[in-house]
Amino acid sequence: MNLAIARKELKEMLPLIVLAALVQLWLLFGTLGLLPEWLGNFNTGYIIPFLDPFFDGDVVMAMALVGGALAIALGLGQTLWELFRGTFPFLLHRPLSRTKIFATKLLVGAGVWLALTVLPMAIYALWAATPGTHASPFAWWMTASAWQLCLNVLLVYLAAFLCGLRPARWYVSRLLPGVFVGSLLLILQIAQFVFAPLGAAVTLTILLVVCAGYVMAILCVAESRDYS
Amino acid sequence: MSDAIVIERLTKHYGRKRVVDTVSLRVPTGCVYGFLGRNGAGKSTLIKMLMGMVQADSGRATLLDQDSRDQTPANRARIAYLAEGHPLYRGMSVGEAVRFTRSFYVDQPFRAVWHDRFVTQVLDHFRISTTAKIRRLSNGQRAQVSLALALAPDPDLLVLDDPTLGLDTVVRREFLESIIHLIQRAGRTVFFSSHMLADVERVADRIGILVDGVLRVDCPTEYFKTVVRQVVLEFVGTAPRFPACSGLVSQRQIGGRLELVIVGYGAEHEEIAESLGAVNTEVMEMNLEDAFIAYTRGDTAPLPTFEWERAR
Amino acid sequence: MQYSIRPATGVPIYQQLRDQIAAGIARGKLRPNERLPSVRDLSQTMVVNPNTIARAYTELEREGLLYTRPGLGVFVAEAPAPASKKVRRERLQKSLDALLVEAVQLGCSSDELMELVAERAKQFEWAESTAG
Repeated sequence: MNLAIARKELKEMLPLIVLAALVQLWLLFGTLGLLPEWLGNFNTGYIIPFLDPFFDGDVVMAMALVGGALAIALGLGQTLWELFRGTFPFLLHRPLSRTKIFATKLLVGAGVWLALTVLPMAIYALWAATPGTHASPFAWWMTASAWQLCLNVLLVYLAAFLCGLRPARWYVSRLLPGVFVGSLLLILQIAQFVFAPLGAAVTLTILLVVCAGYVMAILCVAESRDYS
Repeated sequence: MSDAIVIERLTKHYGRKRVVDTVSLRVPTGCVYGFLGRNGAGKSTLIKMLMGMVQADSGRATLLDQDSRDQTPANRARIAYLAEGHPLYRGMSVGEAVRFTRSFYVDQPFRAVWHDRFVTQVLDHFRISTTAKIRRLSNGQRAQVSLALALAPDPDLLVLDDPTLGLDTVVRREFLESIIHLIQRAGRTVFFSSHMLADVERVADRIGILVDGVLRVDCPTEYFKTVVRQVVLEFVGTAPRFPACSGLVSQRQIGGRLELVIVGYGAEHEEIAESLGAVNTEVMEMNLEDAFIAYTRGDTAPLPTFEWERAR
Repeated sequence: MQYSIRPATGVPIYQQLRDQIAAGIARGKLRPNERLPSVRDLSQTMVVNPNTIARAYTELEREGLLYTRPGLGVFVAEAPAPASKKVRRERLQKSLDALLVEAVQLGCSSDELMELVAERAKQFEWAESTAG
C-alpha cells in the first residue's frame, strides 16, 4: 500500500465518494428518524428492519444499490481514466512493483466499500439491535442477506475494475467480466429462492472465492497488458 | 563499463503488421543516442517495450544490466522516463505533483536521491508557480515540469519519447539546453526519439533510423554524414535501374537522370555506373535531412507532371 | 569570438567548428595564447553535444593550432613553424586550381584576380616571408 498513490486515488474519486456518502447518510438518518419530515423520514413504524432486503422500499436494498453504483463508477474510474489520460506510463514507472501499485488502488476501493456500503448497514443493524428503537423483532441472523449484499457490491467493484483494465477491442467484449458477475449474482439469488437449503455458508464461500479470483485476474492483467 | 541499454531482436506485431522488426542495438554508457523515424515507424512502440509498458512478441531488452521486464524499484529509481505527451496528473497543482513524485524517492529502502533545490530552480527559472494547476500550464511549461521531475532523482539513464513534440521553437531550444546541461556529467546516458533532425544532430553522439519497424541505420552521427552521398548519373535516353548492391539506399529515375543515395560510394559503384553506360557522374554530399528522407521515403516515382505545366 | 553552426548540412558539426576556429586564428581574431571557452561552456552556449566540441578541439590540437594546459584550459598556439615550401605548394595547388577554374569561367582576367587576391590577403595574418 503506497500512501501517495492512495491519497491521489481518493482525491481523484472524491466527487463520486462525496455524492455517494451524502445519499447513504440521507438514507441512514432518514431510516433512523433523525431527519425532519420535509427531508425524508422513513421511520414510519411500518418497516421491519432487515426483514428482507428485496421487500419493497427496503432501506438496506437502497443502500446496496447506492454502494453498487459507486462501485461501478469507482472501478471504471480508477482504470479507464488513467488509460484515457495516458498517465499509466508515468504511474507504472514509479520505483515500486506493479503489484503494489494496483494493490493500492484496490485497497482504496475496498476502503471506500467498507466506509460507504458496509458501515451504513452496520450502523443500521446496531440501531435495530438496540432495544427500544423500533417496534418489531430483530435477530442478528436476519442481517445475513445484508452482508451478502455487501459482498455482492464488492464483487461488482472488482468486476468493474477488471472491465476497465482489460484490453478489449470492442465495447461489448470489454463488459464480459461485468456480464459474468451479473449472471452469477442473479443465479445465486434465484438459487436461494429455489433451494432454500443453499445456505449462507455456501453462498458466502462462492462469493469470496470469486472475489479472490477477480483480484488475481486483475493483478495478472495489470502485469501483462500493453499500455500504449 | 557495460552498455546502458542492450536491445536484442525486439519484435512486436499489431495484428499482421510488424510494428517493430527484430531491432537490435546497444547504447554505451555516457552516450547520447538519437532515434529517428517517421511517424508510425515504431519508435514509440520500441521505447514502450524498453520501459516495460508494452510486451514484446520476441526478443529482449536490458536497462542498466536488468531485464526490462524485471526491473527492481532500485533500478527504476535510476532511470528517468518521459513518456509521449509528458503525462502528469492534470488535477494536481505543480506543488502536489512535486510532492507526489518526490515521495517515491525519499525514505526508501533502496538508495535514491531527490534534489529539491534543482526543482525549485527550474520552476523559478520558468516562472511556474507551485500552486498553479497542471492543466492550466502551457505545453512548454508542462514539458519543463515533467523534465524537472524526471531529473530530480539524478538518474543515470534518461529515456525520452519524442520530448519536443508539440513544443514551439523557443521551448524546444530550452529543452535542448536542459539536455545539454545534464549530459555534462559524465556517465549519464540519454536515449531519445525525435523527428527533429537538426536537434538530433546537435545533441546526439549516435543516431539510429527506424524505417517501417526495421533499424536501417545505427552509427555515430558524424559518420552518417560523411558516408552518405548523393550520386547523380546521366544517361543518353532513359536511365536504367541501378542493380541492388551493398550501400544502395534508394534510387529515382527522372528521364535520363538516375538519382542514387549510396552509403560508402567507391570503386564497386563506379564500375556498375560504367557498365550501365552512364555518360556523367556527379557525387555530392547530403545534408542530414535529405539523407534521412532518402532512407525513410523508399523508392518512389517522382511527382507526375501536371497538365497545366505541359500546356504552357 | 562568436561561433555558429549550420545543422543539417553535409558538413559534420565538429568540422564546421574546427574550420571556424582555424579561420579565426588565420584572420588574427584569435591571438596566440588566448584562452578558448571550455568545452562545457561552449557546448552550453552553442547547444551542441560536448563530445563534438571536444572533437573539434582535439583535431586542432593535433594539427598544432591549439594546446591544452591541464586545469587551465585550451589556448591558441603560437604561430607554427611554417611547412616547407614544397609542402605549401603541394597543399595549396588543389584549392588554387579550383579558384582559377571558377575565375576563368566567370570571365575574370588574370590581373583582376591578382587584385582581388591582394585585397583579401590584407584581412589575414601572414607569417614573415621565409625561404623554402
